[in-house]
Amino acid sequence: MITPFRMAFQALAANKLRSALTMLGNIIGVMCVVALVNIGISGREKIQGSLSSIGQNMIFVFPRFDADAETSSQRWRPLELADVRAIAEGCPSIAGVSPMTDVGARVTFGNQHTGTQVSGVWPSYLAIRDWNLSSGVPFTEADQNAGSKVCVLGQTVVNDLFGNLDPIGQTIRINRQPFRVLGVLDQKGTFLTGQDQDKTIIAPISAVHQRLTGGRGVKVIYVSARERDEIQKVKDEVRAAIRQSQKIPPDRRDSIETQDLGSMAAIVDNVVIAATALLAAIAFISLLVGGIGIMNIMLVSVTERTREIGLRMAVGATDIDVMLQFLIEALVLSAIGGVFGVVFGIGLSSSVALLFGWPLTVSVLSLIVAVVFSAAVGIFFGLYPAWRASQLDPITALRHE
Amino acid sequence: MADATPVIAVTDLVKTYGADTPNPVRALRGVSFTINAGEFVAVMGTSGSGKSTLMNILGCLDRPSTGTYHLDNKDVSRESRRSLAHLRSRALGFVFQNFQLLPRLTAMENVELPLQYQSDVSTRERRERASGSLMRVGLADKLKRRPTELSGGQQQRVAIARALVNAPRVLLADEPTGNLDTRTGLEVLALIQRLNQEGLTIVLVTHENDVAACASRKLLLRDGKLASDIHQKGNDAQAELLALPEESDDAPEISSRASA
Repeated sequence: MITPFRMAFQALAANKLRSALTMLGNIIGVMCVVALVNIGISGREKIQGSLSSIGQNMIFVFPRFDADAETSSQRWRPLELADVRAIAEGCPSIAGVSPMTDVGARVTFGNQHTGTQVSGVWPSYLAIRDWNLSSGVPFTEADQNAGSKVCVLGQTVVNDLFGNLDPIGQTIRINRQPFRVLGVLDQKGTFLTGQDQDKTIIAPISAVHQRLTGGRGVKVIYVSARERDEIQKVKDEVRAAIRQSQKIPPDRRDSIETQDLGSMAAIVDNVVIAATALLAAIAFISLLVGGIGIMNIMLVSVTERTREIGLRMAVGATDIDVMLQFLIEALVLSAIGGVFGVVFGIGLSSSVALLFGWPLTVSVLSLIVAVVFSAAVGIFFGLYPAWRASQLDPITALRHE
Repeated sequence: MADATPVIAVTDLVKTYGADTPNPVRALRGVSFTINAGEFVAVMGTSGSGKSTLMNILGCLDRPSTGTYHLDNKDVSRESRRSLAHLRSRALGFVFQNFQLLPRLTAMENVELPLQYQSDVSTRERRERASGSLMRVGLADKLKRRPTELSGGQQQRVAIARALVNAPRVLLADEPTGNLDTRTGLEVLALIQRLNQEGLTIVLVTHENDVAACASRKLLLRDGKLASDIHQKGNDAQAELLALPEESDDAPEISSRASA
């Protein structure tokens, strides 16, 4: 089987420019498929990584605006600590629950100062968000109950205020109120929106209420499920608990809305997959067009080489031998085009990933699919010219000028 | 030199083109003859006499409309396209007027070509047989040359080497000297004659009397029928070549017998 391939290479090498131009369709097609699919995968990984940095198995609970309600208090009912307690007591499936309220604050240490969000939460908040401390200790239930003025700092705040100093045990001032630093949070990096997740201070909500906001409001409730597939169950329990605690009559709608990362991730996934699939489909069409180019050139080639075909038949080539010869040429053309396309495609997707700082991923499956499809296109579109060649009459073929 | 084994036996060969049209062309109208092993037969005739049609049938490139063709005592007149191809690759060698070499391939690769369609011949054997065949026609030093780098006579000798490489029962030559000048034509003819003396059966189509005169038998076709069948003592092409007025060129040594 080596000889027919060598023959095909020789035939293609005899017309290098033409062969290269014929391959171009497949090169571009495969390049687009490979690049788009891998860019899609990189982008999706980046987004998923970003989403899971918020916390796994997490559910947000926030008030819902009901435009149809009769009274203003029914349209918008802010969350309260009582709602958080209702969830904590009435939802057996949850892994943790924490209220969150935040306030923009001016923070100083010595003569350094910075502005940041200060989040008031329960001690369970860090576990819900999968957020560990890089040093120090978290605040405790006792700190929460006592309204202790303690806090943990995000990495960016530490850098802004302390530089190389150890912040643990130091006292900073948040809107002039002294808070003692207990710990420093692990770095989380920027979120999708470009927001720096490490530019934050976390403190007991009791202290934030008393010292910073002056109110008792809760902006969002964070709930976490134990397992990913229990998220729906937890959502149902949360809704039921809130309805009960807020005494909402059965004919009225929920006063809250729940959203989880899974549903956010699913939305993102759907968008990314749909976009990737659409673009890849267009790229596949360009592969088909490449196939038509191959067919065109193979038909020209068969006509040009009519005498060669006649001679090969005269010296003993069967129909199948001739057909195979041209099929192999088409296959070699499209397979080489496919390999070049893969190389260029990886180059393109890697450049894009580097440019945007996305993870470098290459799906081997996408390469195999693209090359196999490219070769299949070659064989499919090579079939007709090859068949035409094989049906030539050797006598007339030999006389062909 | 001819023993009495028939290699080719045709009986009542008829070939009609366009039998189902109002004006069918009756190229052969009942031709019968046998050719024994070791004969050198020239088929003559004007254009339209049916000699090309006869040649195509003898070469298993075409099938007769009626009548039979026995090649090596086997009736091949009703074989399929596929087994005709098989016969061409095993039993027959072709030499054409316009050489029909593939320009991309070297002399060696051109000669190897028929063996590529015999799956039981290994690459090594193919190479050995091809170079042996080229040696036999006196081109041992031109193995890597492409047809464009060779003279017309050399090209035709490559084509003859290609026809010999599968050790055919019959060499079929269609106007092999038609595109060559007198001297080169004689050289090629001398080579063919030598191959015949070595035992190869040869059927040669020509319209030139000088060429036909070198054969040991002359078949004349006229209007699709055999007009005459003459056994003769063929002229010695090598002697005629030597009798030509000397030219300045370095005429290759046809008479040197490179193979055993």
